[in-house]
Amino acid sequence: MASPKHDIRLGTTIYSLTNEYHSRRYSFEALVQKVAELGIGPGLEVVGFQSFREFPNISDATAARFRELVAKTGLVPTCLGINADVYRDRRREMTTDESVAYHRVQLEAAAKLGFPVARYQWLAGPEVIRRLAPDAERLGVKLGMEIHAPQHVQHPDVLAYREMYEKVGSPYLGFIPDFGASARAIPEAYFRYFRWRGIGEAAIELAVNMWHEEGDMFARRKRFQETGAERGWDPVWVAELSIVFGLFSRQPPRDWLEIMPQVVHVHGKFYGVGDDGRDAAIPYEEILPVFVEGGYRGYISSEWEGHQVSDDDGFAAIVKHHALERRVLAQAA
Amino acid sequence: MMVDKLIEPDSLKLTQAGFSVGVRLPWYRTVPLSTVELVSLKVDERTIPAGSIRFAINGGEWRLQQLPELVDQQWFVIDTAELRVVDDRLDRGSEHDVEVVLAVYPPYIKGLRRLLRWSRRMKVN
Repeated sequence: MASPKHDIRLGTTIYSLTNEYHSRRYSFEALVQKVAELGIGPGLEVVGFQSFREFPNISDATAARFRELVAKTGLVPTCLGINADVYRDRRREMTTDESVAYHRVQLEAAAKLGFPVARYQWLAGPEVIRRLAPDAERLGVKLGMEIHAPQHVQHPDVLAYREMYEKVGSPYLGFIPDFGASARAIPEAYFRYFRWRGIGEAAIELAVNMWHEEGDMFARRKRFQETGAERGWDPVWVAELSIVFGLFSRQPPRDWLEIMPQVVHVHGKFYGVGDDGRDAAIPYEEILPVFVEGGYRGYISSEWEGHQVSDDDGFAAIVKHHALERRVLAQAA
Repeated sequence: MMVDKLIEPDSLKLTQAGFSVGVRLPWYRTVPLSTVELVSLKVDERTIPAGSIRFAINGGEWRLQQLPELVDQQWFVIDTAELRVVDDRLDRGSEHDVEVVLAVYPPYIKGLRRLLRWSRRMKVN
């Protein structure tokens, strides 16, 4: 028998089902059970601050209940989303020591729940993560920085981590690519939402034009906000449109190869698979073959973010997304 | 989508001191109350003075200007908070347009003030 050309496994992040959960139609446990029933595992990713009331603490009882749920459903815990809440007091930024302690508690929660990877965010800063490397090794939980739009593998903020990783040389420090960083367009669902909100066409057009410009995305977002204020646009419009700058960027898919050996998990960000079996905003046909070529071994969580701008069914979206991924992976293998 | 869930349906209630309105966190995860700002509350176009509003959750209630200090009070993502208002102008069974403008400062996104406005017509219970 020919050995398969890749070892990429599929899964779901419960974040995709934010609408189902926020509306209280499903409890966290019910979401996990339905993921198993629909066969959109086996990988199971969870955001700590979404799914556990006591987070960042996790009691013995909560850990036991979660492990039981995992055993019952046969799903595989892949990644726990932890947060770099350095502005939780918005009057001042956390000190480095406070941030190390805040991240350490979350890393311990990941270990207690049985997750092999903790997704962290760039705002943590390389110094905090460098200091946590021994904890990650002690706990057996890898720290994966999510490379999320507007950043990309060559962004200065990401390069700072790559340099630190090089120096520390720990297999417990890695990256989590988010495919929103390799978008080809702003998803249609966002335009439908902006128009439904009554946002003016001139404001939408300016946001789109600035999104397509070159240069730092944060700087462009700031410029958009300043222009909006100058023109006297409703601050709610400006705030809504500003989100496009932080969600999608246009890194060429092949650039992921630069960090491939350090990839510990993947966020298969998507906004909706159409009747043609494609996601119009994220080029899966180009991205997934790069991960096969790079020899990535691990899980991709289907991360549907259309819930931000629609009430569509997250489960149905993921079922289609898994079909898309299977098709592209089969062709790439 | 979050914006149209900002005001809990059927949540306009008469209280001893006035009335209350239920609000939902328009975000996907729990945040501390220190990152939440009630920008304005209007009833039938009438702005309720900030000093007449208390923000209630987790068995406690606070003045709006106290919110930035509440770093250790979490707003769990699926819980409803209550805006308790000292007021005497609503009659039971009457209908009113309630508008809430609320901002969330996601604590891991530098400089983002997620500003949302929604209104809902509700009968006083």
